[in-house]
Amino acid sequence: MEDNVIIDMYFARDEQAIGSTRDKYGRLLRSIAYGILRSHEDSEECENDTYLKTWNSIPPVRPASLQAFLAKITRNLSLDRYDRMHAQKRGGGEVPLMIEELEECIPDESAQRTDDDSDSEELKRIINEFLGTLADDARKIFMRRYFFGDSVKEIADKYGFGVSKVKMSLSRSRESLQAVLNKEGYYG
Amino acid sequence: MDNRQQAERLLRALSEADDRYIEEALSPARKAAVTPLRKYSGFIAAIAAALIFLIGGGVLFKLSNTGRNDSARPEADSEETFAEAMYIDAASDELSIRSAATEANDMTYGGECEEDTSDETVAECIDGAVGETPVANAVIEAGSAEELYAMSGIGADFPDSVNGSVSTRYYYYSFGMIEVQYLDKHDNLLCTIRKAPASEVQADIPGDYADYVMYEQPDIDGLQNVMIAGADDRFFMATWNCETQDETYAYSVWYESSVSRDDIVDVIMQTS
Repeated sequence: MEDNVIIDMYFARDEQAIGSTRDKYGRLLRSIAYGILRSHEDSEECENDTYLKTWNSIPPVRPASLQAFLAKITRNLSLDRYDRMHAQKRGGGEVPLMIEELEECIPDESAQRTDDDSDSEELKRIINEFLGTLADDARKIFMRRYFFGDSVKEIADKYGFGVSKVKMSLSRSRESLQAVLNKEGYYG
Repeated sequence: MDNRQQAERLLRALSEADDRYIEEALSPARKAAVTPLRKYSGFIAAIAAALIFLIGGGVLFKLSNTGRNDSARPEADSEETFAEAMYIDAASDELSIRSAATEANDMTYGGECEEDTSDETVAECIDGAVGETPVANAVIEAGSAEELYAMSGIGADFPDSVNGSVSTRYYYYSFGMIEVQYLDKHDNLLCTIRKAPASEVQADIPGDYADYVMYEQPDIDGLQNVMIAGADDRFFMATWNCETQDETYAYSVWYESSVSRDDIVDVIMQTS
C-alpha cells in the first residue's frame, strides 16, 4: 500500500491505518528499537508506542516521508526507554558505546558550557550540514551506527565491508564532526 | 554539561537528521561487489606467498650458482617469472594485483610474444595491456571494446552508454570474464555489465551477494533465466543467460543506484 494512502487513512481517522502501518513498517520499527534496546520485549513495546504516537500526530502532521517519520518516533521512544532502563540499571547494548564514541566529537572546553548555551535548531542544522558533506558510503555507515544503533559488525555484514573499513569510516566521520562543531563554535 | 551529556545530546539530535539521510540508510543494502578474485583472495594470497617464497629461493640459488648478481632475463620457458604478488590496499579494502615481475625489473620478460595459445600470452600480446610481463591470473584493463574482444575472444556487445554515463572502462578477467563499467563525468561508477561463458561463472557473475527484497523473472525473447532484483519497484541487479551457436553466456547488470523495471529490461535487451 502506498504511503499517501496510509496517511489519508490516518486523516480519515480510519483505525485500519495502524494495521497497514504495522504490515508495511512493523519489522523495520522493531529492528530500529532493537538496535537501541537489544531487547525483543522492549522493542515490541516501542513499536506499539510508535503506532499510538503516530495516530496522535497525524493529523495535523502530514509527513513527507512516512518511513522516516516513523523511524524518528521509534528512535526517540527507544532512547527514552533506554534512559529509563539505564536509570534502573538494566539494559545496555549499543547505546553506551555510541555515546562513548560520540564523546570523541566533543572538545574538552565543552565541559564548561551549560545546556542553555545549546540550541537544538542550530545543532540540527549543523548535523544535517555535516551529513551532507559525507560521501554516500560514509554517511550510510554513520547513520546506521548512530541513528539506528547497528553494531560495527552488523554494518560490515549489511554492506559487505570489512570491519576495519567500517571502523575507519566512523573514526574519520567523528573527526569531521568534531571539526564542524569546532568551526561552528557550537561546543568549543 | 560534561562531555558525556553533550554526547548524549548529540545522539538525541541525530533524530532530527533529514528524512533523505534516513531513507538513504534504509534503502536496500548494496553489498560491496565481491569478485571471484576477491572472494578467494585469502586462498590466492596464500598460493602467491608460497610461489614468491619458492621463486625467491630459486633466484638466490641460481645467482649463487652462476656468481652473477646482475639479473639475466629468464628463459622463455622458465616458470619462475609467472609468480604474482598480491597486495591488499588496506585503505580502500580493494584487492589489486600486480605482477611481481613488474615491480622487480630484473625479472621482466623482453622479446616478442610467442605464438603460445595460453591465456597468459594472449593477454601479453595485447599492446599496452600488460607491458612485457606475462600475467597468470589477473584483471587487465583494455582500452576499448575491440581490445577487450582481442584479449578475451568474447564479444562486448554492450550499450554505448547507460544511465547517462559519459565514459566506459573495459576489463578482462583472465579466467574468462569481461566487464564494462559505465561512469559519470566525475568518474563515479554508475553501472557494471559482465559477460562470461556460463560454464565458467554460473551464479557468481554479478559478484553481488546482497539479499534483495524483490526478485522478478521477466520473459524476454531469446533470453533464458532472466532475473531482476531490487525493492519497491526499483531494481539494482539483473542476471540472465543467452545462448549462441557455440556457447551459452551468462550476463549480469549491476547498478549503483536503483532504476525502473523498464530501464533495466531495456539494458538487458540492448546487451544481449
